[in-house]
Amino acid sequence: MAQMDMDQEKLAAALKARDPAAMQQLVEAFGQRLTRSAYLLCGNENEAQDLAQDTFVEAFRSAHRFQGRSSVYTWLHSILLNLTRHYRRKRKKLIYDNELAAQEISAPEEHPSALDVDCAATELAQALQRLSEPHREVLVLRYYERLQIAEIAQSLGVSPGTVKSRVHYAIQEMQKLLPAEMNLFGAGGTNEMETK
Amino acid sequence: MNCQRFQKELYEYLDEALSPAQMAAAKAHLLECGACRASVRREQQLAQSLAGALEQNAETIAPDAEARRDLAQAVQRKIAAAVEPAPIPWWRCVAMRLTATSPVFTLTPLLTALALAWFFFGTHQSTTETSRMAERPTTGAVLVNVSYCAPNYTFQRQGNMVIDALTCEARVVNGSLLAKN
Repeated sequence: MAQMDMDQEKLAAALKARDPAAMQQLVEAFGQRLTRSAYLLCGNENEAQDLAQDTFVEAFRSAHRFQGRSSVYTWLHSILLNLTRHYRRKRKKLIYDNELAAQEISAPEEHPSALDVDCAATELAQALQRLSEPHREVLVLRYYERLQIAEIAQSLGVSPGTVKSRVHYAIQEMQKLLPAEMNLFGAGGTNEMETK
Repeated sequence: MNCQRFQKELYEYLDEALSPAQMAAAKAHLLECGACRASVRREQQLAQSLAGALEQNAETIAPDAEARRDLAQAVQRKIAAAVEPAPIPWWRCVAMRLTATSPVFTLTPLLTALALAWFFFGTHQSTTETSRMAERPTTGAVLVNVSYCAPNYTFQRQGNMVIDALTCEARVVNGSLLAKN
C-alpha cells in the first residue's frame, strides 16, 4: 500500500478538524493510486479523475465517521467504491459490439501460453469493464490493491466466504471474456479451475 | 488437513492469515499433496499476471506532478463549494426574515404578551413598592395608581448583521376601584 508509513492517526485527527493542510497531504499521498484504481473500476480517465476528486471531498465531509479500524487508504477506497457504484447506476451501460469482440478473439498470438502482460493489458481492461460490478470490484481489490480476503470483506461489507466465491467466479468469467489463447493461469491452467 | 480443507483456506494461506497451527498443518499438507501445490502455484501465477496487467493498464493515466496539482486544486474547489456554512439559530432566521421586510420590526404580539405577563405576575412586588394607594375616599371608591415597565425588543438589520435591542418603557396607569359595601 502506498505511503502507509504516514502518521495516519494524526492525519485522521487533522481531517476531522477540517484542516485544509491535511486534505492536501491526503491528496498528495493517495491521489495518484486512487485515480488509477478509479480508472480500473470505471474504465474512463475523465470519470476516474472526477471520482477521485469526489472521493476526497466526501472524505473531507465524513471524516468524523472514520473510526481508524482500517487504514486511511482502505477507508478512501470504500468511499470510491460507493461513488463508483452510484455513478454506474446512473450511467447507461455501454453495449458491447459482438462483432468487434469476435475480431479481437480471432486475432492470432504467436506465444499463446501464459498471459503476456505487455500485449494483454488492453484486452484485460476491456474484459474487466464487461464483468459485473461485484466481480470487477473484487478483482481490482484483490489483484490491483492487493488486499487480503478479510480486508476486502470489510471494505465491501460482505463475508470472507462471499469474497472468495466472487473472486473465483470473477476469474472464471474473465477467462471466458478473454481471447482463447490468453490463459490467465498459464498453459493447461484452466482445467484446474473447474475442480476448485 | 485434507485437500478440501486446504482448498477452502487457500486464500488465507496465500495471505498468511492463518493461525500458526493452521499454517503448519497447511504446509504439512502441501508437502504430501501435489494437486494442492499446483493450486498454490496456479493462484500465485494468476496473481502475478493479473496484477501486472492491471498495473500496466492503470499506469496509462499516470498522473504527473501537474495532474496531481490539478487534482489537489479541484478537490479544494469542490470542498469550498460543498462545505456548508455554520447553522444559523432558528430565532435568528425568523428575525432576519422579518427584518427583511421592514428595517425596524417590533414584535408587537410577543411584547404585548410580555407586558401583560409582567403586569399581572411580575409587578405585584413592585406594585406594593412603587404604586401608591390613594387615600380611601369617603365615597367608598379606591383610587389606584400603578407604574410598570414595559419591555420592548427590537431587531434591526445592518448589512448581514442583525442587531437586537431590549429597551424598557415606564408606564403609569391610574384607575379607581369601587369598594364593596
